[in-house]
Amino acid sequence: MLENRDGGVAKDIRGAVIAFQQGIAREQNFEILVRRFYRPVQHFLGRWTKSTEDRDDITQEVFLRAFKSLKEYRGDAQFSTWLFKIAHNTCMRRLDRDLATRKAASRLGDDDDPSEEEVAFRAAAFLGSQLDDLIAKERSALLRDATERLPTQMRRCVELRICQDLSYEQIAAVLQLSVGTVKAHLFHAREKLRDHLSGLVRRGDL
Amino acid sequence: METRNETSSAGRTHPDLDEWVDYHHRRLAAEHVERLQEHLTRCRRCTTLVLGLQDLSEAEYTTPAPLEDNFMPRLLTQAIFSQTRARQWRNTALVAASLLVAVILPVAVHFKTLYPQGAGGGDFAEVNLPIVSLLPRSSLRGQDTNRLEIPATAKHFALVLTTQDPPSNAIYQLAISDALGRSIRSVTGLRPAADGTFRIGLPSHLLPSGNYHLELRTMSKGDRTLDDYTLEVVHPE
Repeated sequence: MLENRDGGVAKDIRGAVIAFQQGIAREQNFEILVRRFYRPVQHFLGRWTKSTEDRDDITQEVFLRAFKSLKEYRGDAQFSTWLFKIAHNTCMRRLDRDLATRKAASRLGDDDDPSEEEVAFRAAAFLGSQLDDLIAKERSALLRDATERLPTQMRRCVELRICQDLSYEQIAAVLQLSVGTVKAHLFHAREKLRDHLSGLVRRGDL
Repeated sequence: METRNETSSAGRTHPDLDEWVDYHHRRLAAEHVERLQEHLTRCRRCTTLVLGLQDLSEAEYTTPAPLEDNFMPRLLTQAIFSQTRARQWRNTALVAASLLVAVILPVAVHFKTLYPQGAGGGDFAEVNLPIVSLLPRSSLRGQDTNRLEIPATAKHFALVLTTQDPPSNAIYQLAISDALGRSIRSVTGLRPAADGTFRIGLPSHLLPSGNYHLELRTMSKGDRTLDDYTLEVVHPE
């Protein structure tokens, strides 16, 4: 699979993997792989973790696992896919463990009854925010109804833009479209939504 | 194609990772793609997966980024020690079996399995990382010093620092200075391993041939020094 790639870069990855598996200059060959994939792995893990310390810690663990199991990589999947699975699995294991720790901690915290003052404060904050919530809910319900009427692919672009705050490039990558198509979809969606919701769509929402 | 699902810890159902890999490589039927894209518009978790796959895939064709100076030495040190631990467990099992089978050979077997290649870690040649175990200056006698020979082909080396007193769970710092007292490098954020030692990987070019002084101290509780070490580094002529 790797040998089909254009240019010398993929060949470098393949060469590094083969040399590593044959025990030739393993350290240097593994470093070639780390240099190429360190940043995207770190970037991916950064989307899941709260601190850079956690992110870097898991990044280190991912490459350690890759180092240990590279002997078993058979090249039947793209190297980046193989490494991605290691990154994903390592990250999920860590998140599950952290979640279990947090749950245990919050169970302990539940035993503490809030003071009367704290209860009054929470109630006041809740009532104050209710009106805002109501207006926001009404606006978003109208927007959702209008969005539902858009053609499928256009609607998906709008939802990814509004709900997940993705860039044009990210929407294109996720929906496997060109960036130009995404821009066109969003342009036309904006026009259509403006017709449906004149005065309700703020500039910059899309 | 059949849909394979997995449930997140929040109880929500998501397509599994292999399904997203197939989506990324455009190996799915149009109807299946439709279903997954619909899921993506509602699911930040799976969107993150697809973007991650995309980023890593693109990295195969882009220029490699520079690494942090310490990343590879740290990684290799960890790799070596995890290999060593696995080997020691295997060897311990062998020792136990040997004791049962042939009582006459226990000492030899024990020695051979616990220290398979003697000092310097010859068995680690597959990653070419010299390792030296450092004793604190207070436990060295007379003119004794810790000595590290770094082969010309080794890009990194590893230090294992043993301490006079067991370390606490605090975070430690290692300050390295040369014979003239000039600071060479300070390694922060160190924690003791399970066996109470500190393991550090460093690039070989950091310490040219000569004598060095290393100081291990806590980063909290008023910067207390735990132990100090002397180290003679020798590179081949």
